[in-house]
Amino acid sequence: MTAPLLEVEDLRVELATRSGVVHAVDGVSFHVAEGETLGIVGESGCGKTMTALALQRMLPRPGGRIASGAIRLGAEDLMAKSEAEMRAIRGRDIAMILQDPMSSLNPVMSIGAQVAEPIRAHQRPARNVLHAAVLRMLDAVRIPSPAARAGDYPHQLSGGMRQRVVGAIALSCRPRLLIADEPTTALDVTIQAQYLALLKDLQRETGVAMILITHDFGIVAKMCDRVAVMYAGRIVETADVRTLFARPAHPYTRALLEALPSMEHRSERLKVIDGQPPDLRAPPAGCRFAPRCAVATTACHTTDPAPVALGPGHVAHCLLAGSA
Amino acid sequence: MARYLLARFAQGLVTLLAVSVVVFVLSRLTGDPLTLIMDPMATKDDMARELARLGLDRSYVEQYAIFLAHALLGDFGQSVFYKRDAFGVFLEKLPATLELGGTAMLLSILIAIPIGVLSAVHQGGWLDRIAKIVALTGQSAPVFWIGLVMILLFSVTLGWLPTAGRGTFRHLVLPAITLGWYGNAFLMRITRSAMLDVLGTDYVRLARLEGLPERRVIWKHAFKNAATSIVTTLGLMSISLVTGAVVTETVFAWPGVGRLTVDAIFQRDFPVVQTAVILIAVMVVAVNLAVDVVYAWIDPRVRFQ
Repeated sequence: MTAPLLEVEDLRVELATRSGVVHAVDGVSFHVAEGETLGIVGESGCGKTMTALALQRMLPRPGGRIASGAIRLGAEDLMAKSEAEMRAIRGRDIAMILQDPMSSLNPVMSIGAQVAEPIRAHQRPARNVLHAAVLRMLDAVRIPSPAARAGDYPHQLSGGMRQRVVGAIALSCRPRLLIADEPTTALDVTIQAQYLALLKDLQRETGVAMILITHDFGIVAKMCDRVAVMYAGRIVETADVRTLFARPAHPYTRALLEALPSMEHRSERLKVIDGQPPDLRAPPAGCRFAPRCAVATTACHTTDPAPVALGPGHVAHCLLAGSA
Repeated sequence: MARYLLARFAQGLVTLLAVSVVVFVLSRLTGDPLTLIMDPMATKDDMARELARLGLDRSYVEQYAIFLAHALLGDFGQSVFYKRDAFGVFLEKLPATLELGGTAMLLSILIAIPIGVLSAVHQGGWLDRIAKIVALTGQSAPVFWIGLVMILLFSVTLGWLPTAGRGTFRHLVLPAITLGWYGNAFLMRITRSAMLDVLGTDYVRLARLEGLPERRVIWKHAFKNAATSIVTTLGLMSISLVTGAVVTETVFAWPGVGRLTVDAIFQRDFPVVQTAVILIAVMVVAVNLAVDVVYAWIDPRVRFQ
């Protein structure tokens, strides 16, 4: 295994709101190796996006802050960086693709100008070099006839094309880590597969490591090497993608996988997980999934589950893991 | 683009035509002009002759056509009070109003927009709080009252600036601040809220995630998108500068078209009133057209409509 590119240890993110402090991310640790794709899976509000923003020290202001934790990118300690140093890292070493391509692009700037922005900010190239780089990026994300389209404005492009432009912006400075936050959720189903294939191709060409945030296990199966399952601000299980699908150890992971509709049991009602995720302003003691867990014991409601190693790279935070 | 501007231009012409009809009808509703002009001892024959000479014996449609044709040539008739061409009288007073309005506008652009932007960027900060209070007083205090208070404070008590009249730069300070006061407050609030809207969008978040310098994020990405609302407000303001001039010019005895119009109304100098109303309407339409052109220049979605 190659040395990890990104290492996150015990990351805690707090959001101050009118009604109290939300512990959006509560002791999350994971790593991403070079060229690897880590999937972060979980339902809305479980802290996936906050984790991604925290990695770039770009939590919503005012209110968001990293309470504690360590974030290392290669040899660099990102927690020790000043805001100016972080600005140099954003876009150059870590880039991000947001969910909604309809709102990710500036409506009054041409797409060429928007792809040029990070290149100009980080590399300060000559004008003709910049122009060539922009066309090369638009071509790399398969925008047909880039020279003709570079002057187009976002409203002239379809959602799929816009998300390609967002991809071109993200990869324009050859980042080492790409964070894609639900990159295909807002796209038509037919376009989703195309876009994912494009991301995969680009990853092969550039060797960029990727964190793919999603709630779609189909995308996880297609794209990811390893998966971290998040629930209520914590990672409950980490495994390589085969192991996770074959031997899910955490009851939450199992419940999520069971909730997927399958072709074999089409007549059955869709399975759902009863209950609601806990209020992260005052998270419950013990395992956070216990109130919704079908197999929880009394101990689960009081004891915080320690990580249990179940195999190489397979860790579950569950009192019952390994025993059953 | 050309079609968009052409459509706006046509709309402007229709507006002006409507204004001319209103002006024409209103002036006919104010009573028989002959009773004002003629000697009370005049005979019926004298009246009839004068009626024919002025063209008032023709049908209203004919009278309106003649009025419109003359107006297009800049002929709005003779001022009753000045005994001169009403259009000339108006043009004579116009530079003073433009000077006052232009200064007020420039002050707003240089003060209100930067403060509005900074208030939004540092939302809840000290500048934002002070600006909010100033904007609130600016919008709730009537213009004439602010003018009088400033005269009392800076002219009468402190003796720093002249109380009234036009001449040096010192004469311009108080009326320009008074006239711009309300618009300043308005522009500041609009700029702030437009910037807050834009600063919360995904594309501004993405610009920051790209590691762009903050100044570029704010001015290039955010401000340019907020600019459409700001330009609209500037258009509205330039109109209120003309109408607001009526009060400000009266308070400060500023010899512009605002005061000219008020005086003309009291003097029943209808040719001058008509000239003022129509030409002010022309200016308003021209400003709106300019706003539309600027829109198209800023926003490609308008340009490619």
